[in-house]
Amino acid sequence: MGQGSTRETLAGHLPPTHPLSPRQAFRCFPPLTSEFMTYEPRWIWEQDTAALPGPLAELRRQTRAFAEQELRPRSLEGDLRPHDRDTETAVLKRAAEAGVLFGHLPQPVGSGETALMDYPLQWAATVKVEELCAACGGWGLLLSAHALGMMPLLISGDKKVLKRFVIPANRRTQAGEPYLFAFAITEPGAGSDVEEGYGASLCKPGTIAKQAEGGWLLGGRKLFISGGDIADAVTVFAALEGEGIESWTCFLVEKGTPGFTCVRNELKMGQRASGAAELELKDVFVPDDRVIGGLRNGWALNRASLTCSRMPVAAIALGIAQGAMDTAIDFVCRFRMAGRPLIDRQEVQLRVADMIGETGAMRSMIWQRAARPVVTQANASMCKVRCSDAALRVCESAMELLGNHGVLHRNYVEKHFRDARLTQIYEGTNQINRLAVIEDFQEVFLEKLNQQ
Amino acid sequence: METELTEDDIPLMLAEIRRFCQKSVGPLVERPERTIEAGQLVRLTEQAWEIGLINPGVEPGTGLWEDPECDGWVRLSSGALCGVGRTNAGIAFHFHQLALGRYVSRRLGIDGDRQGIACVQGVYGLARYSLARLLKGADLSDEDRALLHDYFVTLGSEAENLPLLFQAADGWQQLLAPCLDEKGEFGWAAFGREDIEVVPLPDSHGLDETVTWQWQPRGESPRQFTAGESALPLYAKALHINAQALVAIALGSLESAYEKAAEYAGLRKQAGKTISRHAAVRQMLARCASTIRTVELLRGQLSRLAVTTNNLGTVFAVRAQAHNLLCAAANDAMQVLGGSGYSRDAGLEKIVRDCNHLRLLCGTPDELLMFVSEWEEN
Repeated sequence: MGQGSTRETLAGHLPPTHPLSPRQAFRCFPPLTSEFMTYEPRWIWEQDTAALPGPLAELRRQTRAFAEQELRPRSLEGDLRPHDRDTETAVLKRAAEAGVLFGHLPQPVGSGETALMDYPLQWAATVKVEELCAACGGWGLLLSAHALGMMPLLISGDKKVLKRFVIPANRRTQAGEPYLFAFAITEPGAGSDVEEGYGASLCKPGTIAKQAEGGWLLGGRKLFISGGDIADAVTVFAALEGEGIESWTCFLVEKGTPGFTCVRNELKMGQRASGAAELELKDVFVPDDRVIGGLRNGWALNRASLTCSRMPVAAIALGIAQGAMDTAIDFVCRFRMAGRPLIDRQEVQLRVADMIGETGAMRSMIWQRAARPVVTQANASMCKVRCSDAALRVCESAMELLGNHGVLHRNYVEKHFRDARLTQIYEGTNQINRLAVIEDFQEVFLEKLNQQ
Repeated sequence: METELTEDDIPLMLAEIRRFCQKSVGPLVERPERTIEAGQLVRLTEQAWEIGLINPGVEPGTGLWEDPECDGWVRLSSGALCGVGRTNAGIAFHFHQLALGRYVSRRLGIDGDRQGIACVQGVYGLARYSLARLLKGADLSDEDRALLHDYFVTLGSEAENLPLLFQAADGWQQLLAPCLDEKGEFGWAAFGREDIEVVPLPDSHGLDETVTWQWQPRGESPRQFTAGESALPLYAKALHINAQALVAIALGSLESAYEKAAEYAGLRKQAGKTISRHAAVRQMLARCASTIRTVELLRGQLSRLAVTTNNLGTVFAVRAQAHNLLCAAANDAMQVLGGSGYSRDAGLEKIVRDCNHLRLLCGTPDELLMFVSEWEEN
């Protein structure tokens, strides 16, 4: 079939209209059989969306529509010229209007459908984040890191905190004035120490809270804080003066508080549209009523927040992988060799099939684990490790399919690779996360040991 | 008459190149997040001429790929590129491109005063199995001819749906490209820069010191078209040399990544001890070391192969495996640094990008394996 004609089949396959094609052959089945054995000509995105419960499917569709319209067109620009305040403001305003920033939370805490309350928060968060990052990993992170910043407030379980900080932030955002949170744990020279218990038990905290009249004075420095450069409020973790990390406490610090400054943004390999800020705290006064979750409960809030955010990180990886795969599929359908599109070549079909399988497996794992009412560290870490590693493989496959054209910035896939690479690092490196899986099953191993 | 290279010369010249890297290249690339300026690269290139790393003239002398058909020159070139790659992959690639251009120019008897780039990369891939069939002298089918038509520039025909690309630092004045003429005969075309439409495409994945260029002939005839019996073997040799260079540069880059990662692991503490004592980090460092030892052995063996058409399959087979190993190990080295590794200031992410970029040029591993599958078939 020549260029310009309507194609009826890919090379090496029977046309769907052929009597031996399962699409035709399966028509012989009675209705009862057809209930479970039929052919779905729809693309995997539609199939997967249809398999979601209604409110989550709607969230997925809405997020994709927003991401395709607002994020994808700004993807390359945000990568080349990050932290352009005008563009950031425009994207955030549109995200606020579209209900993206609080859309995974049911009303009145968030802007999502009340029906979302019937499903675990994790599931809604992963569905949303995947779609944002399929359009752009950088902009996707900018709009997602805020959820992590807000996490200690939600996990605190304190209704006063929700009423005082989260619900007003949501209202302000719905009114078109975005309010963002960021999460600040990492300190210079102590990335992994604050992401797992054993390291933390031996480390010396660098950010200290000194008691003052009516509150606390915070001093120290935080590194790699996603969205810390533009957040309206930051959940900062600090040890109490004279005590160790077991005294860690979560403080809500608002932008503009005297002594609280963003010193710099990291120059990153990818996910550049989102800042990774270095925050400096010099005698930053935080009143007592902005201690979140109680004194010395910060370590628990930190670990629980990381557990809740690792599945969304897996979804970030999945989204980026999906974006890379979609780009590669467009490429192999568009470009031709010897008069035939690349997708006609069996070696290309094999690569594409692997990518579809890999992203499908990632999504199955995330959705299956996120659908459980209780989130566990092991499940979250397993998803994060498996999906971030798989995402890199998918991005490498996409670059392989584009060949020497894969190096070009304008062809996107090299950016997908750079964006995906971060998911193996943040929210605890994949090495730390593997150990987190073991930590969760410690009792099982101990029992076996003690039986010997 | 070519310049003779004795066995004793090689370590002496490699030592001189090491000094050049330390004294001249290193200070210019200390800050990996900043790309060397064009003027600095020009001066550095002049210094490379002065120490005999590149031979700029038409007369025989010393330099990369000076006389690769003679024993010793490939070992010297591969070792030198590995050494420069250890300091900076983009600059190593630039030197290689200049030397490869000069090698092809001389073999074609083209004016060596104009800085030429030999664009050995076809439009896309390696024409599946067809380039291997062409180079090994097999009978070509209509499908082969069609694939080769789309792989090479075909003089007098419109550009196809994918643009032609090549990678080089600016400053080049002529382009030497393998082409097919109107009758489908293979040959080398020499285009002056002003004879082609060329667009720089900045911000490519890696090799920041160079630029990806998109180009196409303006439709006029090239300044020179050299066909005949020697044209195709010269293309095979250029591919062979290029493959050796890409592996050597990537290996040098990984050596640098390993050094940086090991140094960091020896300083950074976690859970009360340096991370070099943690099994997770030791695993990653060991994979880097293992890859370096493996590829170094392969590189050493490759550099002893005669540069002939017959050995092209071997070089491509090694390259297909080596680049995957090198990229995976570069990722490991970067992972050792955690969040710092993702920062451009640390230099590890640049090495990951450089290794990826080198993997994708002139045949990705998948494409190389297709070539090998055809090459190995009797």
